[in-house]
Amino acid sequence: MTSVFECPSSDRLRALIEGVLSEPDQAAVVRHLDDCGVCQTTLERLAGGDGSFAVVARQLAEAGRSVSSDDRSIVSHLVAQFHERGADVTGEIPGDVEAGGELALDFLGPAPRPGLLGTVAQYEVIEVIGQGGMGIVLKAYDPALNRLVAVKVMAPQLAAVAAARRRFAREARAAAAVSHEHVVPIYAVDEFRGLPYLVMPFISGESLQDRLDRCGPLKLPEILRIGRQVAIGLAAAHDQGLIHRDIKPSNILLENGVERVKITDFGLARTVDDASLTHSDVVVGTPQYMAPEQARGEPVDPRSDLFSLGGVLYAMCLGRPPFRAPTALAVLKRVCEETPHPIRADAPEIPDWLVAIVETLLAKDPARRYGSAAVVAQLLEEHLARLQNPGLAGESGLATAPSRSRARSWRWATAAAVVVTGLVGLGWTRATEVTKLAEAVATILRIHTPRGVLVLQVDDPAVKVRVDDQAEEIVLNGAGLHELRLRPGQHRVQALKEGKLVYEELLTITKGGRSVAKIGRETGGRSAATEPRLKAALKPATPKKARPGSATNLAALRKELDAVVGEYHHLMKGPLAKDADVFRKLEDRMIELRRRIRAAEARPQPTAPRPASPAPARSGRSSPGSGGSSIRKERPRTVEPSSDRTDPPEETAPF
Amino acid sequence: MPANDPMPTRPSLLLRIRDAGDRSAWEQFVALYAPMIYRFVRRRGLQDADAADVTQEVLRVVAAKARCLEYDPAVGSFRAWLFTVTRHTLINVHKRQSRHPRGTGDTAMNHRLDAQPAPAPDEKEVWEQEYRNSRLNWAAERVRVQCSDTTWQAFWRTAVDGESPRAVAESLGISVGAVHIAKSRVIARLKAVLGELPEE
Repeated sequence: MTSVFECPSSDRLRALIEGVLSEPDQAAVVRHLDDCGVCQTTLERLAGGDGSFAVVARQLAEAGRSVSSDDRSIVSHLVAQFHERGADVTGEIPGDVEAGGELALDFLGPAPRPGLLGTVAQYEVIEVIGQGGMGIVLKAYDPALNRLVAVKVMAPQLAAVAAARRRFAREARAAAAVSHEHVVPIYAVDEFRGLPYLVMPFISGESLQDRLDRCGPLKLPEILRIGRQVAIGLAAAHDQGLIHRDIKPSNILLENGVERVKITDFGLARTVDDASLTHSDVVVGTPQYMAPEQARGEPVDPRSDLFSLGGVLYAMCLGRPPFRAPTALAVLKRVCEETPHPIRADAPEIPDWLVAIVETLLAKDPARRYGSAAVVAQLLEEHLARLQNPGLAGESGLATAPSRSRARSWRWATAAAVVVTGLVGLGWTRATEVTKLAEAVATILRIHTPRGVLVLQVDDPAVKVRVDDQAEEIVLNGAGLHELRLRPGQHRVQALKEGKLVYEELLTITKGGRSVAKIGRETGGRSAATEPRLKAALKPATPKKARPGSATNLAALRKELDAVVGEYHHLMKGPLAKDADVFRKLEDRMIELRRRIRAAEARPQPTAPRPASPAPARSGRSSPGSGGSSIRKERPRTVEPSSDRTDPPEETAPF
Repeated sequence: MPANDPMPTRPSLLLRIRDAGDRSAWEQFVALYAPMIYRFVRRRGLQDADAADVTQEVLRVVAAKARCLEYDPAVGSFRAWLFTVTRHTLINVHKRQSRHPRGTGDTAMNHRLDAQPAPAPDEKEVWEQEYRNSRLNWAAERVRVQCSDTTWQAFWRTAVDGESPRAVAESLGISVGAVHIAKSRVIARLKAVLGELPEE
């Protein structure tokens, strides 16, 4: 060891940098370095910190500044996500640079004549309209029908994912089911050279995003007109149990020449994130218009679309989305946590009531938003009418925000989003509904499940119908045309006349099914829509009345599940989901059977039948403790089955 | 600073990523290139979400292409290829944004001509700059996680921020000598890491 005052040799300094000096030796050199400027310089030079490092240091400073913490988080998110998906991405990527710098269009069939890019089935491709991770959109000509169409072809790498294909077909069919003037229709869904595609009309016009980019904020009547039409289109979609999930200005098309607005890209957003096989919230869609619950990856419902609609209205007022930040993650954080910059601060001409509507739609808590898109459409329509005809001012129904009754009507809507088709004029409070219902001549009460329909036909205007799904109770007076959306699960439907229970039925609403029941003076019968092709697989083979806990029942359930699973896999091997509904039904059936099996397994295996047991024979479909048993107990004394209603109500359940 | 090197000299990262199962190569690859693509795209005027999309897309292209990447530095650098991919993806995004769902009678060719201007002269410069930044940030991050916060602070504040060793020593509560050692060690380490990361 040397003295503190003696300069260490270069070797010792190198050893110091490398960390290989002994502890006391190092301590001595460190003390020496405290004061010896010469050694300080030497040390740095030996480490490589000479003139060339000064450049690196400057660049480091710059590099450090170049990246914000938001950038860091988004990049780390990307990195994490990429790893989640793995690097083993196979297949060609559209837009591949190696394909001559052009989009990969090699899947197209040969062009029948010059000037065309090629064909997709019978469609003659004229040009590429757009391209995204999801797929490619082509402008094409349909010679058979002599019209222009837009053909959206699924990206090959997504087409390789079975679930994505299935979802593509399913969602496309769901979107196709929404036949509405404010929704871009789906003409066809098919597959070409292994790639699923869907055909839509080619719409000449621009998107709302284009309009905003071009013109900035819109004028009030325009905002109301577009907002109303989007809300109407959404209401139609929600009515079909379809949640758009990606409502934003670029998905709202403004048709040229006519003042018509159409929502596009229905359900496709869903396809996108299913196929990306990730829980990431970065890559799916533009977060600017995403509802907080969506941003957090929580379940979405039609109210998520309402939040997005609020964002669109906001954007129309100010020309920019409500939540902006340097990165997608930061946007999502804002969506979840922050209140957007007040509209009036930048656009004082926007009336209070519109501000209130937008704020209500942008409520973080879905329960604080409006009950349905139909309600919003109605509200905007009334304001638009008043704007165009000031004489209408003073209309009492023009509450600017949900009134006191909103919370209540929402509780209803949560359990049963009330969407009234055919009677759009119905207000949005329960009271109004009831009033209007009483006036309605129609005698059909429809109950929609998110993905299935239960239709109750009420022939007697004097009856009061109560629908109870354990959490909520819905009371409907008299006859009327309703469309209620109920949660899947068990619902008790009771009809009361002059205070007397004249009808009661315990119905299991499952997703994707359809079931009909009649309630009337003669207490009519019901019919269940069935899928003849899959009847065998879908028809419950296990008798519902079997002892739920019995071994035979359990075995039968398992056998039935095997059969359903077998059928499911068999169909999976077939061509692209010929019928999305069938898959859905089979899936639901599997879920149901698994639940019943679990429930049966959870029970102690009885050695003998327990006739006195209140065990919910009928609620075998429901989970234990779901309330089925108490309903079951009431049932015998209240039901007055009609002659054609001899089978137990569960049999009407939607298969 | 540990003497054993956690990252021994390895074959080119680009050779390694040809093996889709080489997780650490991919991690390094994404950590190195995702930020530069993202930053570049942002500087080309894309919104955050779109930038993330483009980055994702470019990485996907690389992933799909990696297997058949014959990397020959003589033909052109990897990052020049990556630049083309990125630029192309970017053009597609612009195209998508500006053309969907517009349906004018323009021919596809016109659109293509509009959508693909020659790269602006400074575009390549920006790209190079982002590559440099990304490479440095990656290396810095690697070194930073290997040393104590004090060591890193002592280095950064003296070498990068240009503070005097004495002031830094006082504020960090260590001796001036320790500051100098910290600085030198980090510099040496940084140079080593950068040396192992050839510009590709």
